[in-house]
Amino acid sequence: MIASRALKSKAMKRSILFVLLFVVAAAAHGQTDDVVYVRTPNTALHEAPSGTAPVKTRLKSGMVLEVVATKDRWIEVSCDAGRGYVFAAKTASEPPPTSDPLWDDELEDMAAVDAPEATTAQGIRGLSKTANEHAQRDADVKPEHVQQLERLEKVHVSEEELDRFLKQGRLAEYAR
Amino acid sequence: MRTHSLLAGSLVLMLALPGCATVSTGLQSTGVHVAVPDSVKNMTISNPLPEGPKPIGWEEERAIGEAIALKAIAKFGGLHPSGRLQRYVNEVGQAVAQTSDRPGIPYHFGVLRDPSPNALACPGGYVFVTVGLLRLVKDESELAGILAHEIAHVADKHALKVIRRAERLSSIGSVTAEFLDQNPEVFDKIIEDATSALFDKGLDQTMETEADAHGVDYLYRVGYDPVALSRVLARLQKVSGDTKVQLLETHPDPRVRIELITKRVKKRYAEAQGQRLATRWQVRTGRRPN
Repeated sequence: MIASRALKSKAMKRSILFVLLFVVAAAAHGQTDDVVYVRTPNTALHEAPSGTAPVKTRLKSGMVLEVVATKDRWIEVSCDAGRGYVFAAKTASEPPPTSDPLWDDELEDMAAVDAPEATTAQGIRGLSKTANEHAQRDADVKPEHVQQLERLEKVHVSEEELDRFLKQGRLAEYAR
Repeated sequence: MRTHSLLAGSLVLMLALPGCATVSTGLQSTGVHVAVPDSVKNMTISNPLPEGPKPIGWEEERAIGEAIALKAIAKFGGLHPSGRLQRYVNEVGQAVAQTSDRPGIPYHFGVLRDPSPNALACPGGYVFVTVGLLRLVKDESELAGILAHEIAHVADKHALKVIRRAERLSSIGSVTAEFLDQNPEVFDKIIEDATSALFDKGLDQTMETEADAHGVDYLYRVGYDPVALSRVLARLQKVSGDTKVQLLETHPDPRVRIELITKRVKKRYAEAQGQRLATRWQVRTGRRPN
């Protein structure tokens, strides 16, 4: 009888310990819910939860933002650049992949020389050496195809143009 | 002793909780069997690399994507000559890409002149849709739905995964830009296999299903009607009849896809009132409603 009670007591202690450890683990994991990462390069930090609200600053992709509150599709955040609102779809719960080029740096460099392309979300580039040489070896690919791809790479939607496009269509941060 | 076991068990539990980065790497391609052509298996490599698969980096992805994009332009009748049309498709594509799971790369969207309905995504952010498929589109959200599916293929690196599997099985190991430059025959084989998968055989059906699901998410995020792609699929199925359409050959049955899209929207975005933008579509493309 005593042995049985002791066993039950041990089993209970084990259960309690297990539950406690689980709670600690869950709490440690839950800490990530308090921050989000900027997913879209050059994301606007607005003064109010609206696409038409003034932009305080632009945020680099990968930046960590402390979540203050969420409202509809907007998140009130706090970060090095101050406090404000970001469109939730431009953030993620995990940092963006580091293998991608992350055009923020390039945008910053271009902005430094005040180039008109400074706000584009795309890079303008020529074909890589490897692809160019492959095209020359490939009988199916003609010079006009290379020209067409190069022309396509030059189709250029600036940040202002994209913003206007979204606004006209009431899309993204301009949705009602 | 038992306490140690419990601690160990709990640590395992902590690591197994979703979101912990420590368990997410290295598992995605385990145990997958892909047939490798003899031509690749028996290939002579000028500068062999040590074995062991490594992720394909951005520079390599870009070079592979450009080469496949050129093959696509050559195979599907070249780019449509209308600069206005190309620009509009790029605006819609950029709108979707900026809230996709991979907005940090440059995307390029092109309309190909081929009259058969088709769309494809190359690594490196090159996305194409044919004139034949645009003829089935009735509003901007439907175009966005097609592009969102293709952007999801890029974001999830589906084509790269196919290439990487073939790489590993043929003992080529990993590829770097320098290695590709020094071994053009390897690059040619990679492009040959990748175009065969993308243009003719199609990707794994699970990849297509994943792209449909993520495409729905992207549409919702940017504010388009998240169910839009299902309308194009229904129309595609209706007009194809008994005709052999490549897009249907390389993708799961449209009825299955429509069901998946509808279920996902119902489960996650039931309250969504996304934009369709039929008027802007007609104005920008010059197409009249049928």
